[in-house]
Amino acid sequence: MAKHIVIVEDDADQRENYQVALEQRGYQVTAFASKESAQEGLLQIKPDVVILDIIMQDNIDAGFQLCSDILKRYPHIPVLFLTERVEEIDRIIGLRMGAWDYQPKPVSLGFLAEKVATLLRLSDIREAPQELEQTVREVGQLQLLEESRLAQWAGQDIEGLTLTEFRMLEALTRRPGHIVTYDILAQATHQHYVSNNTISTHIRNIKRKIKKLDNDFDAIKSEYGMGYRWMDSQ
Amino acid sequence: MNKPLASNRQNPRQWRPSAQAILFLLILISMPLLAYRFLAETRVFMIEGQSQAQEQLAQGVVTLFKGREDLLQELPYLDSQQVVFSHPLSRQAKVDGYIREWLDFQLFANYFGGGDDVEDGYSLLLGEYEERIYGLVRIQDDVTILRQRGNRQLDISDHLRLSLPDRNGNERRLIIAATEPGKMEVWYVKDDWSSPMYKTPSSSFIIQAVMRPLVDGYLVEFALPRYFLNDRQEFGLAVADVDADDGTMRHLKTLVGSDTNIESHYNLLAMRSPEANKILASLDRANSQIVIYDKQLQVRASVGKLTADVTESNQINGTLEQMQYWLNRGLDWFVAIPAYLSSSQEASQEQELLNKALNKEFATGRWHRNPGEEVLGVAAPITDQEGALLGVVMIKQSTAQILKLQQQAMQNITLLSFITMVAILFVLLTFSWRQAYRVQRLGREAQEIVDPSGRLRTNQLRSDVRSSDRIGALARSFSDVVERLHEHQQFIATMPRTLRHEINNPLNATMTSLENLQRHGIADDQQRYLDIAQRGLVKIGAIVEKLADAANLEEALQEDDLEPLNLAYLLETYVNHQERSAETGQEDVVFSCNESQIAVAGVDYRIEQLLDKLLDNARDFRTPESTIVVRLYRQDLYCYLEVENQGPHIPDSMQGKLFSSMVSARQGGTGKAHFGLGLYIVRMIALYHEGEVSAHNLVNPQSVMFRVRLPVLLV
Repeated sequence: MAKHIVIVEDDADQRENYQVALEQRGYQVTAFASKESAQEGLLQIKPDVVILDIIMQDNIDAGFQLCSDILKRYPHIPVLFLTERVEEIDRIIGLRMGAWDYQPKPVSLGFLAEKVATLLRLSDIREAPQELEQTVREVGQLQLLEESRLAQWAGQDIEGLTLTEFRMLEALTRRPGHIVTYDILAQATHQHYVSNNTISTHIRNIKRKIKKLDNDFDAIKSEYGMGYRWMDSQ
Repeated sequence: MNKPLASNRQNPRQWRPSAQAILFLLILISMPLLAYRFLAETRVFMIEGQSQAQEQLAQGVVTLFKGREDLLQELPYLDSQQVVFSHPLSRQAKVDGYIREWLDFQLFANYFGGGDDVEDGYSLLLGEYEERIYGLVRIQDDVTILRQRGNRQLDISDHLRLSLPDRNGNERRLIIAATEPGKMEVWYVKDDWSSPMYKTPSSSFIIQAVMRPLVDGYLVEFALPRYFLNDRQEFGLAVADVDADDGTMRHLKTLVGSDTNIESHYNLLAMRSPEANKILASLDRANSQIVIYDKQLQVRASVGKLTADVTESNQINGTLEQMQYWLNRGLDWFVAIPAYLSSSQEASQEQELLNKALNKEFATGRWHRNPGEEVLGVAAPITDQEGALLGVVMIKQSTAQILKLQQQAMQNITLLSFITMVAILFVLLTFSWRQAYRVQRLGREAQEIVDPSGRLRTNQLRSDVRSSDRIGALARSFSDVVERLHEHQQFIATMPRTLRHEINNPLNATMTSLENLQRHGIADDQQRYLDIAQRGLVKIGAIVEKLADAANLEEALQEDDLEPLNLAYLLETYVNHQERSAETGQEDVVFSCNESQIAVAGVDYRIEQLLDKLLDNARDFRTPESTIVVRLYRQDLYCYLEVENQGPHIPDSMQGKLFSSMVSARQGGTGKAHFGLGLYIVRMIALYHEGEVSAHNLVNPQSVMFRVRLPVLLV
């Protein structure tokens, strides 16, 4: 049975493009053009993944309000914000509300489909973790659980790690001790254009999250002017 | 680079007094001067009026005494007798040897000399007050011999002899002698003028006498009751001058004849005419004196006085009075009537007036009695019905009262003016200070609402916006301007974000559409155009992203934590990576630093961002194939990061705004999109690190250097 994806996007062109792209990949897609129509429609269906825009019509927080409603009813449904609101504060609010990821526009449809697939897989794993055999990659004290997109430091889950940040960690630790350039790290963000500064902001956030578990964490070294390096000693 | 605010400079012109202030001050000063001028005019008017009234009074007195031979008839004395007139004293004289009470009568002193020996003469003034007769004898004597206490011979020291016949014709002889300066002894003596009969008690006030030594002799003031005189009011007075060498009486000078034993040699004491005095009594006025003289210029009646204590009161004693006197003189010179100053200051005018009156002329005059006090004098002849001269009336009036009133008014005006001026000045100063304070506060707030990067911190002013005066109106206008500027600034600040919001949606729609189009399959020759379209859209996305990043930079910086950084290592690593990334393989950036460790508090990727922008800028403007130099050194508490490239100088017109947002010196044609945000980002990051950035044009070779100064972290 095809997974059911709900898209809430007020722009008809984008909504149609998302819908076509996902349906071509075999998903059942229901699209809504407003918060109100989505609230009504979601009474009838239980989606597997919800993709939300934030600003809809004149309501600049419509996506946040909708997310809150959905998660009250279905706390474990993966919610992805796909929005033009890309400020750090919006990202933080969205993730704290329980969204699984936050994807700024413009987005590649291929990336979007991949992200949806990832979210579905994660959802399955989290619903029945014992049924899935995890591929665990260990780099020093870091453990990357590939299937569930979870990371652990010294056996403890790294809280609040986004999918983008997980992919960056993946890229960084692929060849420990080697420099990972900004370009490579940019690919992990699944965005068309990413500045070095945006990458550095992601790296800063990763460091902060790991330092909550280990204040002496110092594995990520900056290779100024080029990129970052995972120090293999850790 | 921060441009210093022009309002910090002091403009010396603003402290110059305005023409209005000077005009106001002149008006303020002119007020008391005008008041004084008014007073001076009033004084002249009053003196003139007084003078006219005096002349009319003189005419009146003349009319009263016209034909009154009975009042001014010649006195019934014998040819051998001399008449000594007693003068009316204004009050009871104090027998103390001082002449205050006699000042007005000195002119009429009787002089007596001893034959050819004029130098040993004396003068006599007699006066009366109520029932007592007063005498003032001024004796010229080279050597004064005082009486020896206890010696019963009274004629061997200098003394006065007084002979007073009683109503029965018996003669009472008295000797007044001094044993020391001060109170004198009064002895009743026998006929030989030497043997004492008895001495009046020293405590007695019946006959008083006081002696006071002078440089050229001595002075005796005495008083005795009127009833000591007989009906003819005869008396004899002699001064005995005693030789000091052998203690014997050398010679005796007599006032009344040569021998006091001869009745005919008694003098007559001419008293004022009671009837004439009664007539004059009704004319008594303050500060004026009316004197009736007979043909011999002897006083026959008088009333009033110039001023009771005029001599004392008009003495210029204290420094304050001295200052006031000269102030009055100065003000007189400045504002008063010149004619007033031209009056005569010679007291001898009084005699001239009397002489003119004796010649039957009506004479008036004015002279200074004391500094600051004038005397108005009128002398008029008194005649009988046939026009023959009987006497003279002299009216003197002092202007002291007028001057005193003027002086008091002047003092009041001066004091009032001073207090008023002080009060006005205080109010003005307080008002000016308050206004200046408010303007300064407004200016200070206006400066403070702009941050170092030239942006408004707030959207309104707080100072004085609720005041209803002009400064309040100015503050409100200014606040309105600030509010509008702030709105504009907000619009500019949020525009990139808004732009991104607005562009990202259609951009996303377009990109996803192209993606779907590609997925549906297109001809190979069309794929090229699809790729071009997609690249263009990515560029648009990048532009929007850069704009939004720059707009959000300040907020984003607040999320960063400053940490200790080795700036030397950071720069070295950064430049090394630049070398590796050079497409030509040759070094296009070199790093120079003498130290391996320079610590700063910073955010490493922000410093990296700063270097990105500086190097982008240097690469865009450098001379082709020239090397960019990155230099780091420490000096005192700062380190200096310099990025230098050979190339054209920064135009002067760009110097002040080079680090502002959306300012670019690029001429175009670089092939990249530029929005003039790079150096703005450099400045924002430098400011966040408590540093500053500046640009410098260098010569030999022509080059440009950007210098970032950051505080060194002291561990």
